Amino acid sequence: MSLPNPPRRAALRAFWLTSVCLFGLPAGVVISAVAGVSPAGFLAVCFGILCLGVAWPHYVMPIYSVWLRLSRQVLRLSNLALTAVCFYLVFAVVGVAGSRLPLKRAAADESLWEAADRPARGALDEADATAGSTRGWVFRYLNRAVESGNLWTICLLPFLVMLRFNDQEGNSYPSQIYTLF
Amino acid sequence: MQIFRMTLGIIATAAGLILLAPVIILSLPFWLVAFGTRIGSRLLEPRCIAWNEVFAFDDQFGWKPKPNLKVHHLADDVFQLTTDSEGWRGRISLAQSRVVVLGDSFAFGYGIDDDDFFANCTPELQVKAIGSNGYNMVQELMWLEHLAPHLKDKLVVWFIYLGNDLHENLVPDMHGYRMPFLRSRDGNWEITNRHLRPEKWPFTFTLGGGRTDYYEQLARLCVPGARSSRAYRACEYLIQRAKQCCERADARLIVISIPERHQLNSAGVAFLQSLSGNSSLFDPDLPDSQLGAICRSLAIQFVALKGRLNASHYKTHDWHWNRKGHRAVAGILKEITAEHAGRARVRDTEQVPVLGSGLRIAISPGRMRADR
Repeated sequence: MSLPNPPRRAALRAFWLTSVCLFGLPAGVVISAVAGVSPAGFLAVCFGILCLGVAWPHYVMPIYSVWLRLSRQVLRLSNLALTAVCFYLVFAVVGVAGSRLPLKRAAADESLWEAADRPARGALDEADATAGSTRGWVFRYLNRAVESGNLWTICLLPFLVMLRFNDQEGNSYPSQIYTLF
Repeated sequence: MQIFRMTLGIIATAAGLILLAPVIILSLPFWLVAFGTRIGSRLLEPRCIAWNEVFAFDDQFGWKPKPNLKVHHLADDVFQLTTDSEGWRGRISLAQSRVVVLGDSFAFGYGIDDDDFFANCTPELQVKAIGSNGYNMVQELMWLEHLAPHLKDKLVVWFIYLGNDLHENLVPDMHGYRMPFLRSRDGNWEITNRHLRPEKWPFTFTLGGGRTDYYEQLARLCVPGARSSRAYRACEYLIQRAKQCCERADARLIVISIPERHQLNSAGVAFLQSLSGNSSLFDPDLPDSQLGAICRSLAIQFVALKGRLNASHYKTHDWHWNRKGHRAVAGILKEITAEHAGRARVRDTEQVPVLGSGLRIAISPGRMRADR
């Protein structure tokens, strides 16, 4: 889950709303408590700042760009850490007990084709990986883990969810605006 | 073994998550902001309709905007789009207008909200824009001739977009949409629209396809040669015919060339030069100088926007003008209209009948014009 890039006005407005609500309001509460400023006054200031960004979203763009750059770096590092932990810790530990995944190289006369009526063993297929909403793929993933007898792969779910959150695929504009055909 | 593996998995996952706690804490604000932005923009953004809901097939002109639309459409951003009962943008009707702007998506105001559309920026000018996305000059001329009975005493401003108009005058389709085009037969130009049907045009006339194809067409028009010469001759024919139409309708024609964004900075010019096929003969001003020469020979006022606009007037992720560009163009139209009004006053006071021929000579500053 990444910020849309390049952003449309609605994205800039939503970014500003989210940022002010997430950071501005808690900061306001803390500052009001510490400095003894009236919370109502701080709320009014927050509301003013919020309105400015919503009315003139293009002024939010510099902040958005900085946040986007920062977010890319942080999420890239987060991805590295997540995959490293998965690979060096979870796989390594589960691997001690062996795996039902077909990891051996097939013999010359052995086919790797799976029967069509049997669910494929192992990882998700492409359709599963790309389809639908988060809830949809999580459900299919759990289903597949049970059907394939690789229950341990359910343990990977938190990592997969976080990797999906770190997905850096930005929104781009439609490549062709004339799209009748 | 299954249970043992599962137990190991749970332990490893728990340990992994503990190890990842700092990373999760660090990522959390970014996840929350991204999530909020995605959800918020979905809620805040109005529903957009697709291209085929804005434009409809027309068996004479190829396509035209649908009438009575009040919708949102997506270009580089969502924009509000309103069309009148004829399908044209602008808050006034053709009958109410004093200035009629003819053109393609620039005249249509693609990618810009109604409030920022150049025709609406200066209501006192009473500008009516007759244009649609993807139109070539042939389609624009056809509309001019079609609407000629309603153009009496109006100023007709013809927007010629250098990016693709000159090239597309000579091809039968735009991205598969069949459109009227110009072809030469026995040395004479003729407009053809017999191939117009809603079905996709099955052939492509590209230089090889790909993203640079669009720019390559423009780049090759900046190099003297048979290809560009043909395009300019076709253009001359169309402008001449438009002038005759305006004269018959008692309207005045002004031609305005709209530069492609890449023509406005040195990096863009270098990019076009690299696509031109003959960089030694490449002249970025050739389209404007050719159009200027054509207009001079036909005694038509010509304005090249290349000297009046810069890259900041264009959108970053789209070919069209941004809000600043539309305001600049509205200002230029205001200047032209004021100049036109001044000339008209001079003409009215200095017109003298020439005995016996019905020919009236109009003397305007720096120009002699004959009105029949």
